[in-house]
Amino acid sequence: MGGWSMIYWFSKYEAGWWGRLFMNKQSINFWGWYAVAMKEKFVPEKIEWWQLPLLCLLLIGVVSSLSVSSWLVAFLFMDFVTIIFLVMLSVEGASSKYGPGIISFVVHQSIASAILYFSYFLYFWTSIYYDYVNLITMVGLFWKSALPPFHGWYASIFGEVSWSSVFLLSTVLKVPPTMLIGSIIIYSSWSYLWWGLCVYAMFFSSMAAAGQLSMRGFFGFLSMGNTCWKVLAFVISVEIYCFFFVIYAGTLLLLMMICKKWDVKKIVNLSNMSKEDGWLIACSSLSLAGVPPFAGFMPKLFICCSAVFSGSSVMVLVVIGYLVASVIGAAIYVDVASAAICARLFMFICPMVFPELLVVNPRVAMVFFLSQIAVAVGGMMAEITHFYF
Amino acid sequence: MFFGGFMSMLGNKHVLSVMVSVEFLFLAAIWMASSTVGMCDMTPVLMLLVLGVCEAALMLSVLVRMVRSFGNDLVLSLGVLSC
Repeated sequence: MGGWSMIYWFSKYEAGWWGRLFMNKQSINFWGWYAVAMKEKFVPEKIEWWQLPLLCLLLIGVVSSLSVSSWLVAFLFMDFVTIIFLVMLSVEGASSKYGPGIISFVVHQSIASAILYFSYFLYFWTSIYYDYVNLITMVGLFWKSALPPFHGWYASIFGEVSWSSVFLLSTVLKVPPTMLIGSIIIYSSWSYLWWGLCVYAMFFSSMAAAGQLSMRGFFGFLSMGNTCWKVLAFVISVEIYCFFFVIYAGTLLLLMMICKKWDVKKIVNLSNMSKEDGWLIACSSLSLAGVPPFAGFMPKLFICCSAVFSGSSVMVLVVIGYLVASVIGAAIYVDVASAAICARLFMFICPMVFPELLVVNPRVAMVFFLSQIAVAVGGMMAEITHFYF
Repeated sequence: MFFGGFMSMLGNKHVLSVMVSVEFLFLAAIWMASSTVGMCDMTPVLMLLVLGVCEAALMLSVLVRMVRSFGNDLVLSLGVLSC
């Protein structure tokens, strides 16, 4: 899938690629109106001269914020990254309206930066209240990474900026704050509070995502949930964080490129694309959900196993919370996948001709439900005995 | 001073008032910086000052774009759905 996205990315800027497929003399008779429609639809996008330097500056800022030994310089670099991103938003949308999204992004990021600077210098004024000052630092970092309950600015900006900015906002801009949260969270005296907030964030993002009708909203809450996975991944190790990040960013890049290509605004619009792109969207969506046998299952499996076998009971509870929230969020991923492959559940769109077929005997339903619980409990008991015998 | 700036951000009618409150938060942070690390070396304070000013300039440019599209900078006008 990564290879497909790279081929598409480079071929997008060569009209000849589409021309060779669709517009030569032999093929136009075969493809006919489809070729004409595709050529009109996929006009290559002009690369502006400022895009590459700004992107390089952004990546330099992100990597630098993680390479320094001083917290103040790390916070300064995070501010620098925000400023560069804001410049990118300003120059790309010359004619677009600035709505509540970008305004709230600017204001909230400034407030978060001010909180971080304030907390840094507060450490110099006290020697016994470090645990309480740590609270303020974590509030600032949660605010920067848009984790609930400090997420108010996040969802609104997704509807106003371009797809490339949405991708950068979901991936690159999340790296410094999530890594810094992961560095602090296990050493903080308030670690139960922060882990509890992470689990709350997962549940919030899953439930909010499950009610979304627009693709941008889907991506917004999806990235909120994946931020929590990134925090847990960094707590385990940097390598697992990088592994999760690479797979997540690659899958997200593919999804967003296809959505940009077909100008997808709502989830129902996913049905109006080519068969190949529809299946790519479906597989990528299920990969992001963490469903085997897709690629997104592996990093989540590594994270869960490492967290559970670390010996900390808190991590086990966090993983259980994450997995339950992932099951809730799976509703939207399956919705997206089924819309993309045009799968229709006739039970829900056809008129109710035989309603008695939908009635289930409550005793049968209870037996089924209890048997599921018995299987789950029996399986867990077997797994636990494995550690002692 | 910091928490005073925080409280002043609430209940504002204009986006410019919110931005001024944010700058007050930055001022509080810079004051704390100059009274702690600034006694030895003013370089971190200078860096903080420069970044705060850059951010303020960008916030003002965003405000100007908002006023050009909405006609005002009222916070309530951000909630109006328009094409």
